[in-house]
Amino acid sequence: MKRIVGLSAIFICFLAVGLIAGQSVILKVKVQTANVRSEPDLSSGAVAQVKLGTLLESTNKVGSFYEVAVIDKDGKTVYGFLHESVVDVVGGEKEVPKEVERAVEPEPRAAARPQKVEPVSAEFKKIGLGLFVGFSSTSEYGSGLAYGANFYLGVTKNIGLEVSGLRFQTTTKDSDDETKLSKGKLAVMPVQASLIVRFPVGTGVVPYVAAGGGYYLNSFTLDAALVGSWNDLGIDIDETIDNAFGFHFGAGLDYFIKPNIAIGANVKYCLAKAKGSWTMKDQVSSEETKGTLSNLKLDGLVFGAGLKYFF
Amino acid sequence: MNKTIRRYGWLAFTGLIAVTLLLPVKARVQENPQGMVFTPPPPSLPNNLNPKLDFALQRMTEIYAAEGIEKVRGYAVQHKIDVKDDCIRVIAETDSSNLGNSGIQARVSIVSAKIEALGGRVEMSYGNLIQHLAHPGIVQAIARLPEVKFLRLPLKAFPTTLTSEGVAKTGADTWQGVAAYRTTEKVKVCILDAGFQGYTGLLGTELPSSVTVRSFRADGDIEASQVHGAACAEIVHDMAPDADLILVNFSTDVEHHLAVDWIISEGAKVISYSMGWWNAGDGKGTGPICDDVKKAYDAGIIWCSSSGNDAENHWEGTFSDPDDDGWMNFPGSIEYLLVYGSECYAYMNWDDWGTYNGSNYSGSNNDYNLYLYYYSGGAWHLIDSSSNSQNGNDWPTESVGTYASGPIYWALCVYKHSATRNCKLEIFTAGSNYIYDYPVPSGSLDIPADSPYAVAVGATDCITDALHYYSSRGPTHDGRVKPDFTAPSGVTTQTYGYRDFYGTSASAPHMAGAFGLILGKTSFSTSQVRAILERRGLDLGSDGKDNLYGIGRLKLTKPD
Repeated sequence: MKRIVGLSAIFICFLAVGLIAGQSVILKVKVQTANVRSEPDLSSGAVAQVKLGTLLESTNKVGSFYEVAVIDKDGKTVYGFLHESVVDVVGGEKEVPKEVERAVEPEPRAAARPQKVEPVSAEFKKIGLGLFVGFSSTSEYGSGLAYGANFYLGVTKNIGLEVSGLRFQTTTKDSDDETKLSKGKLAVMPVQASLIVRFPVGTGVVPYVAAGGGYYLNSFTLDAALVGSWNDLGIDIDETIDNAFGFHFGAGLDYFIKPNIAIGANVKYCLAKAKGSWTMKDQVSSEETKGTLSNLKLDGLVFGAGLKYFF
Repeated sequence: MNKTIRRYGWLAFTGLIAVTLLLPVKARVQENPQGMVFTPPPPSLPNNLNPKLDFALQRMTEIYAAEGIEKVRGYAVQHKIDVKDDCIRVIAETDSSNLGNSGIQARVSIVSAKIEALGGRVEMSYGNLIQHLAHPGIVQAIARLPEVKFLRLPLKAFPTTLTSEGVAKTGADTWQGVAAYRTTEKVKVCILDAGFQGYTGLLGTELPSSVTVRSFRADGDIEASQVHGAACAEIVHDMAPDADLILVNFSTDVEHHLAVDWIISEGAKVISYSMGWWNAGDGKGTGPICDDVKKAYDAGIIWCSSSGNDAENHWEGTFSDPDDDGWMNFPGSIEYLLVYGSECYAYMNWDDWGTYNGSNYSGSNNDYNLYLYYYSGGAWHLIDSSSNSQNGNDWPTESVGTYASGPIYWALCVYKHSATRNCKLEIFTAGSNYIYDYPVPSGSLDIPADSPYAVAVGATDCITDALHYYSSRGPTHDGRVKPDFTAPSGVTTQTYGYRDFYGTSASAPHMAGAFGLILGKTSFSTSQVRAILERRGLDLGSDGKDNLYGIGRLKLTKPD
């Protein structure tokens, strides 16, 4: 239970960090006419002009310039930069008055000013591939090394789908609990599909949250010493775990070190229950006893860190 | 007859020379019985035998009427009969024919009230049996109650003891070192015995730190001045140190039935039974004691029963009387069975039990009687006799017995009182004695080792694996091979000391402990564990299962 509470707290923190990182500021033009420049540079040309008292929203600041989007005289959305000396910061996002001219989706801007702003966190990423390593901590069977790969397919700037393959392995301990696996090595390989909700911020940081389901490919090998001790008595023992469906949710953070390359970390809580079976057979008489394991809990946290490449 | 005696004298002399050379050392140091040949005189039967009364009870009522209570006390001591406050512990068998369970209960209640009204003290009941204490002066009156079918002394079981190296010998130590797989159940092993004197001093060392105890004796005494059960419990604990032990004792057949019902309700998985009965069944696995074994078996309990220590205390043969004087001719013209020892308690039955209907036998109409003589001062003296009436519905059993101040010769004589055929007789001698001439080891199983539902266990030496001379052998009276196993005997216990627990009494708890050990380590069923042990037993004697070693000596490890 403590583990679940802790997990929930971590998840909420990730959401909070995402929102804070993405918060915009509200600007109010304090001069009669202010030039919206094409580049964060006073020597660059003006792409539009805004009047005294106009309220604007900016989600990014480059040097002394606020990046804004405005509607030009032709009714088109244009992007540019206002020098901080011509505006007053009048508030945050929640205080945006209705008449604020909001920034629009970044795609047209990207087309208008390709590769001008670094880093590239807010850009829409269509396809990505990643590798990660970390460790897992299960509620029933201890912790162990985890590693895997993922494939990301962006649907929008903020929404994407991810398919990942993961493998983690733990060493199970002796237990008096007949519902658990015996001492041995447990390997779990979830193939998971996740819905990703990204919260890109302008500093190259993209927090995200994820949730989804998967199919868990499981295997279990009884401890060799345990098997050996029974074999010495003329008794064969074996124990298996079946594959299972499961669910997961989590959060992560990508940091773009290059426009197409991000490093990141994530945490994921997996919930899965598998079935299994065990047998015990006398080598001499062939007498056999067996049983089923109907509720093998594979719940656990998976922590990972890795590298992603976006196409 | 004088010719016969003279001829037998020469034969005996020649035979004894040969026997002296062939007999084991123990026998050769005994007094030569030459010259003790005799022919028992014609028997005299007591008058007015009450067919509803056990012969010993009849005798006690006669002694009481003629000589008073003091003589009755002496008779009771001589015959090991329970007497309390000058009252005899007896069993009233109520007539339960054509009655259902509720009818039997009602009848037992009525008869119990009548016994109380006559001055008896009812202790307990089971089925149609009422165990009570009765003064010799009212025994006849109780027997005359119309609802009473028969009044008898309680059947008695005897410890089959004659202390554990058996743990290593059987390979149990290797199992003890392995953690249980897929089971957390604490196996309950019950030691059902006569008494557990000194068990409290063994707790935490030779026994678990706590055990469950329950006495079904009328006096509730779990110790009962007998250490036998404590020693058996020691061995079970040595073999299966993680098992929960239940110590239960009894004294009579009624107490035995109640004890078994309770043991089943307690969830025991194994019963270690180092007790044996004689004259309690036909030797074919039927009878009230064997019924208890089956009841336990049906409840999933494995019953490990000592086979008995009677290979040299058993004789059986068909009644033969070529000189037509009514006395059984044992080999040749010898009309007695020669027994040597400081006491002689003999139990005779014959193959005329009739059919067993699940609660009783239809009974015998062939009447044989048993007489006991002792040799002193150059002559034989009658010391006891048993002349139960067998007139169609009675058990074919007789028993005599007494003791002496030291080892002497005893003669058991069998007289055909009234019989339509020559029945096959069987005699067990209990106590410190052995049959000098001519023991028949074959078929010497105690009851309930003859039960098909019991695992009968014989005794082999804990070091050499040699069959101990006393270990009772099969087959059963219906031809089944027994015992099922042999297990170590002559082992060390705190109770008896260094390598001083001999008898199949020591063997049965090794077997029970083996079951307790494997059941506690695995999820195999009791029948599976039996099958596993049967395949692993160390085959001794002739190939395969035989009537001396069963399938072989208990061995838990896989074959080499």
